[in-house]
Amino acid sequence: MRVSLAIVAALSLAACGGGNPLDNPDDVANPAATGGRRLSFVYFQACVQPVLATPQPGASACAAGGCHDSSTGTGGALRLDGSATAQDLAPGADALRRSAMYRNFVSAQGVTVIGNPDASLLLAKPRLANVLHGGGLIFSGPSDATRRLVFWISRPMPPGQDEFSSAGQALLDAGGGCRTS
Amino acid sequence: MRLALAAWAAVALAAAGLLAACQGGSGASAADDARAAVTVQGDVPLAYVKRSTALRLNPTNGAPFAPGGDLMLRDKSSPSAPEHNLTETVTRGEGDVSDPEVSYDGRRIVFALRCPTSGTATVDGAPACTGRWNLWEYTLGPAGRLHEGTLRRLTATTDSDDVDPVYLPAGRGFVFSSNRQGTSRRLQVMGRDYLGLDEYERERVFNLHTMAADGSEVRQISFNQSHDRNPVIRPNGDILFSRWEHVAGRNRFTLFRARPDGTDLFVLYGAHSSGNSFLHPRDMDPAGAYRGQLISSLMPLSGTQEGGALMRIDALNYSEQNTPANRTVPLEGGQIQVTSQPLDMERGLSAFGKATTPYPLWDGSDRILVAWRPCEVTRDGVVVPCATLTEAERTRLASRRTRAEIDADPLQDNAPAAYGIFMFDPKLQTWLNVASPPPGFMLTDPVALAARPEPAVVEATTVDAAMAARGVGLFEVRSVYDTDGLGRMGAAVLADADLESGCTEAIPQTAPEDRTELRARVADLKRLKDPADPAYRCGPARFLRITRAVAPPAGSTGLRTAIGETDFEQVQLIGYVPVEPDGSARFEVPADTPLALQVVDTQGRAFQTHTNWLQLRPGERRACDGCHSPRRGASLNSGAVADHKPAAWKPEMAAARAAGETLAATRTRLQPALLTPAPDIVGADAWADTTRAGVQPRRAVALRYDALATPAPRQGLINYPEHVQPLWSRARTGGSCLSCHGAGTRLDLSPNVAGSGRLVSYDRLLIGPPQLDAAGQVLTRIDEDGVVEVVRAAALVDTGASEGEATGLARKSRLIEILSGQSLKAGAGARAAHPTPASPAHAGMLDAIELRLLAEWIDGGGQYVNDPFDASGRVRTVATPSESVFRQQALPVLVAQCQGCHQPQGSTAGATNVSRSRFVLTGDAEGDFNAALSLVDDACNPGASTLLKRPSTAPHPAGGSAAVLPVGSAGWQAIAAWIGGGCGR
Repeated sequence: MRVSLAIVAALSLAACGGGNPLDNPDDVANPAATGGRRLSFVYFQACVQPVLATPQPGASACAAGGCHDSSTGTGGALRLDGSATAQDLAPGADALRRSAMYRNFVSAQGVTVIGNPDASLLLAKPRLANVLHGGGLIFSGPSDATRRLVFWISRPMPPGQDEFSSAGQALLDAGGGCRTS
Repeated sequence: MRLALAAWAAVALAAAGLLAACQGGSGASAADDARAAVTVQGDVPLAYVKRSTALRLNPTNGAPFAPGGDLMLRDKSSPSAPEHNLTETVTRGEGDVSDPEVSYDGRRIVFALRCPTSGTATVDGAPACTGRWNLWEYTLGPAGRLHEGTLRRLTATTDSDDVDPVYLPAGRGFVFSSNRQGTSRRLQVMGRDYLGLDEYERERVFNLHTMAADGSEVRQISFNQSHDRNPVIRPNGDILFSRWEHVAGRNRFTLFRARPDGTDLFVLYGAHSSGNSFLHPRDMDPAGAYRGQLISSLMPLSGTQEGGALMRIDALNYSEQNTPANRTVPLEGGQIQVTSQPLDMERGLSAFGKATTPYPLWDGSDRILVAWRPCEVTRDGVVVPCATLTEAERTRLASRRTRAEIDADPLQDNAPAAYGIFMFDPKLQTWLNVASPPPGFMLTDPVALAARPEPAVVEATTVDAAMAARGVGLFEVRSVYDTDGLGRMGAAVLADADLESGCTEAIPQTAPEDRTELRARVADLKRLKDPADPAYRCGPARFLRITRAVAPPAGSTGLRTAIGETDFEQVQLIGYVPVEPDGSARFEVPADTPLALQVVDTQGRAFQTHTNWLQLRPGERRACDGCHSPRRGASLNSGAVADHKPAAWKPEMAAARAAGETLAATRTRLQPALLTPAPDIVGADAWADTTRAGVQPRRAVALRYDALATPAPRQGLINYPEHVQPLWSRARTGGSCLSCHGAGTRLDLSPNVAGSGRLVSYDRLLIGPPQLDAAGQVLTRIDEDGVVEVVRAAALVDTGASEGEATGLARKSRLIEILSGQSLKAGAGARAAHPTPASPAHAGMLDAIELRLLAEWIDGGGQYVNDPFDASGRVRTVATPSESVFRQQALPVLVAQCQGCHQPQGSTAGATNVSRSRFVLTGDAEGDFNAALSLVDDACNPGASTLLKRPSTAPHPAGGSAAVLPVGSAGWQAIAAWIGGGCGR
């Protein structure tokens, strides 16, 4: 009965109102699409790859043989070469794209929602944030490692620029260290 | 309840009055009309489809069609705003439109359209109508003149149907559902190329496909055996869709997700929750009050024109209604009806109407555009509101009655599905009418013509190129002992007979080490993997059996008779792989192929029945936590448990193990040949260092078909007449089975042919004896459809499986219990109906490999024939009777005489054994044609075909006295003429 009255009331309100009716919400906010944007390769190889290739406290490394190792591991979409070495950016994009480090970058970026760390499997899986993870709990709380992943995922390169954009340099501090804020 | 209903009627009247008043008061010019229009709060333009109420909407109908459908547009969410028909230039009143979806910039609408080849419209100078469902796109006109846009056709197949399109982000094209079966048709069993029917053997299966923005590069990405429907893209870039899961008694639509390349396809929600079919799922506003949650309609499998309840689903925090994903939420709370008055999600009257195709607005208001129909019935053929029913009439309509009683009632639950479009506000609980259907039409599938945030772009998964080239993928099960509350690989499926000698418990339990774990007790993998612990050799899971689905070939006749008295479709054994002591298994399987996994014991009997299909894309690697694991959280076999290295392992194995590896991962890395499933069940211990004191290995197992005295199955396809019947006929010490179970005996195992056209022994084993009451009369009951059916005791071979009960079939079949001399999982009823013979002792009559063959056959579903082809490699078929004659002559008879009972019947959570007729009619001609064909055994002898023999043999329905379609009746003759027309074709 109460609901029915509410309907009548709402109908009455909405009824003969020309122009902008009551309760009319604001225009739709439509953020720029992230499609086509890229995360930073520079920051990945300096700051993210070491997180993925190093055993975490109480757990194996992501890139461990039984886990996300690209040749022996099983672990789904994330496939890593733990021994990939940092690349000199000078030879250019084509050379970089042939490197093991770049394949790691592509695979890791593929399990992110660019600009949204909380929605990214790269963080949700090792945190067990409402998803399953064959490798179990890796990050039980915030750490330098998780802060690096969050920082990387939340700062895509500017629209129209590729993953090698020099904008990535700004994610490192003056000494080449890994910024996390 | 009655008060509320009366209030509803009053509201409807009041609303109509208000609207009429406003319209009456509006000015003369069109511009004035627009200004004065009644605008539902928030002025959003929308599109929807207007379709004929002659449609038969059912979850099981992939692409129903009825002439008269069109795509409609309104500039405002207002019942008085002008309505524009966007497709009439193509359909010209003879076509149909479905499933509109809006691009993320709000400028384009993609939809499905079908119009007859007789249509005269043209597109780019060519005929616009192909007679099948094609995808079209409408680009909206400028603001204020949205209906002055342009149409283009994206697909133009003349032999298949494309429906349910949705935009991929970043202009990457579309996902849609199609019965093209672009890849799966080439990968059918044994390399055959044919189109597969759904698991009712009715419609060509609709699976998900993707294509580029220009309509090129069409690729199949899902490989289900029944329809995958209603794909949308989630904000995180995943595809969310509704999957028809129909294996044996499991029969429902569940919400699934996948990446846009078809990798990582997995159940998201609703496999074990209340209700039957979750359709039309969509994300709620990612910036709104219900962010992260889904909205879905929830309905039965048939009989409501896809109408049901409107559910808000918290798929983030729950994998099922009562299965939370974390400790921060209550145990219950996965799904909730968003309407304060509950809408009925089952068949029958729903006092507050039924809803379908919700479309949440993403404008901060949390409102939902939705199609809703009021509760109406017909009284003496006239549509009247349910509010006019007396209490007695409502009780009568809801009661269990026979078909005849239902048919004789002047009240019928058959009012046309007059869906209108409403703007529903869950916070205020207001329903504002946006568009009302003219008589004979329904309005459904509303979509808001507004821009919305584009979903994230998901790149293709990096796959293993070498495996992709070989057409395989890689599965790893981290531990089959990682099982959820249903205990699919726990105590629920075990029996005392499973204990190895000297063992006191099969699977040791422990408190979980993982503090995020929601289960109080879990399998103790550390003990199971330690050869120095007695638990090591007691672990009951020894092998994983991998089977693939064999799709029912389109156009084959007599299929149902050939498949037999089982709810399963045909299956092929792919092979066996070992389960290591920690419960892990790792193996390669054919890619793009529907697969099922079962854990089997040392005698080759499965612990559980897998009632849905898994898939891997080529080169894809997938790890599962376990056997029916909780689907969220950590794998049991991870972290410290996985890395635990017992001292009693062989030193070389301990040395070889790499960090994070399961035992299967280590072993298959050392011996890659073990990745390939083997045709036989053979395995020995690989881990125990038996040089250490007190260490005993796991028992070696070798069950090879080359030890079989009778013909062994070829290529994993067991056919009862060729492979099982010889077991009964085989000469043995003390005589063959037939020496006691000869022709005419109670359990007749002779190789004679029964009235079904199958061997009599098969029917004796698969059909339970009728149950009698104290007076010796056959017991009957009335089912939901009003069909009287005979109550039968369990058969010797149990083929029942559903989501609520999926114990391995061989282990619960009395045939296996009696022949093995073990008490396994048969029920008390089955044991009472088939007591173990006092003498001679049946245990030991068959040898171990014969028992394996029997178990493999029963576990697969107890089919009569698993090979859909005859000896010459042709589909088992007789010449096909004509489909056009079927439409004209046979279908009307089937719809009038049979459809009332033979409707799709869904399963629900907790259901145990749903076994009803497999012959299902929906009134959709193409599907009903295939269903009827499956019961045509011999076109040259129409009367002998099951399709005519069953309904003409009294009693039919069972439990009655008469035959519904007597020999020689007009209906019988019409169907006989149709079947006979196929003779010699």
